[in-house]
Amino acid sequence: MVNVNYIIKRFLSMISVLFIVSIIVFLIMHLAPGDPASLSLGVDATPNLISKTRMEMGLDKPLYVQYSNFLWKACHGDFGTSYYTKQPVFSELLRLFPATVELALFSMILALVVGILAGVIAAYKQYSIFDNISMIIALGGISMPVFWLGLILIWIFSLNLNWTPISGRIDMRIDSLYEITKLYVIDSILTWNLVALKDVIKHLILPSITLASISMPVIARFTRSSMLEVIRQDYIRTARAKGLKESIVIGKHAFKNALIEVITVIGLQIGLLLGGAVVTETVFSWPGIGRLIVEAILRRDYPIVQGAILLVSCLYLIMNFIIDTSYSYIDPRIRYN
Amino acid sequence: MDSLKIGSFLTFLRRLQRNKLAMFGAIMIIFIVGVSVGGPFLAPYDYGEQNLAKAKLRPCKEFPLGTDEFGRCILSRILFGARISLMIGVISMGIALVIGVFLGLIAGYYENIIGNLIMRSVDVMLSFPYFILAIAVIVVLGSGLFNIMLTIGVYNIPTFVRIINGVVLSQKQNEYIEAAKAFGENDLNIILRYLLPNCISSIIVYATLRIGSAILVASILGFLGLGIMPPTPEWGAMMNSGTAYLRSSPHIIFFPGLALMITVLSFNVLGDGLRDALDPRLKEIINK
Repeated sequence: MVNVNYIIKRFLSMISVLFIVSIIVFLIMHLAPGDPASLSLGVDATPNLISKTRMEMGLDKPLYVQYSNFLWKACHGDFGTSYYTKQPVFSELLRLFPATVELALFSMILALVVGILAGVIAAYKQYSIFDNISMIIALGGISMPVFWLGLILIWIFSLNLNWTPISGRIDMRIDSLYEITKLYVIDSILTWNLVALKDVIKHLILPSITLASISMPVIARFTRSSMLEVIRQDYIRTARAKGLKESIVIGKHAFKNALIEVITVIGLQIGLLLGGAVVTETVFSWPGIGRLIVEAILRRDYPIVQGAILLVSCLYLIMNFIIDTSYSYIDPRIRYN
Repeated sequence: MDSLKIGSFLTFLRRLQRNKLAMFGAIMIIFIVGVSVGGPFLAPYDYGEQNLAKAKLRPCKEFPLGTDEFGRCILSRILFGARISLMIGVISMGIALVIGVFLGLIAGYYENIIGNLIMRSVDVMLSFPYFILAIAVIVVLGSGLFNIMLTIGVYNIPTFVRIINGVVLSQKQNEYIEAAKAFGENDLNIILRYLLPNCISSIIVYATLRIGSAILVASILGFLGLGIMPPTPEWGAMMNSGTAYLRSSPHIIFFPGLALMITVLSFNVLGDGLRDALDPRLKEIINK
């Protein structure tokens, strides 16, 4: 049963947060050092041209008019033009978006599979060598700077062993990949292009491990602690007393209940994942939104910064909305009030 | 009353002592604080002293951790950097703590429109993708030591407000608060003398845990070129300039990263240990 009232309430709160984000994003442009008109024209613009451009950009109008114009345009996918590339911001974001999605998806899958597996085994064999070692690794992982891990992986696997490429998404020499979804792994499978698939996975593996290292230890620790709580419940003893196989007791009875808490953590991880993508993409020169944000800030390309922050915030809010409203499907005991 | 306090403090210390990881964290933190205070005396060289003839040396007798691309001693720079990282961690947490605890106490005690307003603003702040927000603030304010501390501090405010609010809401139901009210204690007294002391353990645990993450975030900003700028020996910025020489001189990024990881790890394990020692119920539930 899904509570419609809850979903509507949750949706409205999402919209209001998005509204506040839009105000903050709009103010970035105005509070940031430098005049947007002269920034967009470059260093050798004449004062006349600058004042004309100011008028064209609507910078002479009151702030609330400027904001409503900004919001109206943003709702229609118009975030202005990049100062640097002179391309529409929206198309720039759209072009780089699939790369970030692909990286985020793969690292989330990696973090979930390894994290949950390690957590379940560690809980099942509490205080064993596996438990101790995996939890020490998890603690180290939480404390490790993600870019440092990325650089060390590059040093070992790319520079010394030559197993993986240093940067990018696909080898420039492979031009035969037909783009359907723009997620290269899926595209190369759909078109059964095995040469491309091998190359894409080689490019993807180190950035995915790096990005996954943020969530993996958290998921592992959480899975372990919630499994430990569940394993000691009476119904698990009952299941064992019934003579059920240990794999069914752990996999079906215990794990399913431990999963609810784990899903809550996954929701919290999405924000970290987006932040981590900024760092990981910079380290591996991954052509995604995260790297674009850093480059745009360093170049003072504010329309890109605005568009990217709005897009990422939207994504974050929508993902959390989906996770929050899906609880009642996973656990029928949960009722929202 | 005093002997009771000392007694419970000793119990807490005993519990903490039994936790080997937490003790490791505590000893490491004492060591790091010592290093950051005594950095200038301990460092074999000045952190800015360049010597291009000795650039990118691997660790050797003269330079225990090698030299960077300008021939500066990496060990000396790490020792100086400890001070910056600790300062960022402690001051940003101080900002978060003072404002967060104040707002949390108010919101918890007065469940009226002010309290509601505070908690709704906290919800909004927590629903931001944090790192992106930090970047946005840095764009506006510009990077600099104070701005970095302010940004990280502001980010941590909502977490403190939530935690303190939760503690106050549960404590408020107790009879001793009702008794205090019956005695005619004013609100300020009740908040400061009755409610705040009950929040101390949560404050200590979360501040310790968050100092580690504050240091980590500052170094990430430094690495991206959005944080503290070279030639200041901030660990993240040191690694940023070392990336260009990764192939030939990986030690330029290896040692600052290791120092960073050990520092953050120490705060994390001490924070975990403090939580177990101050809030033993949690541990008991898990180990039942």
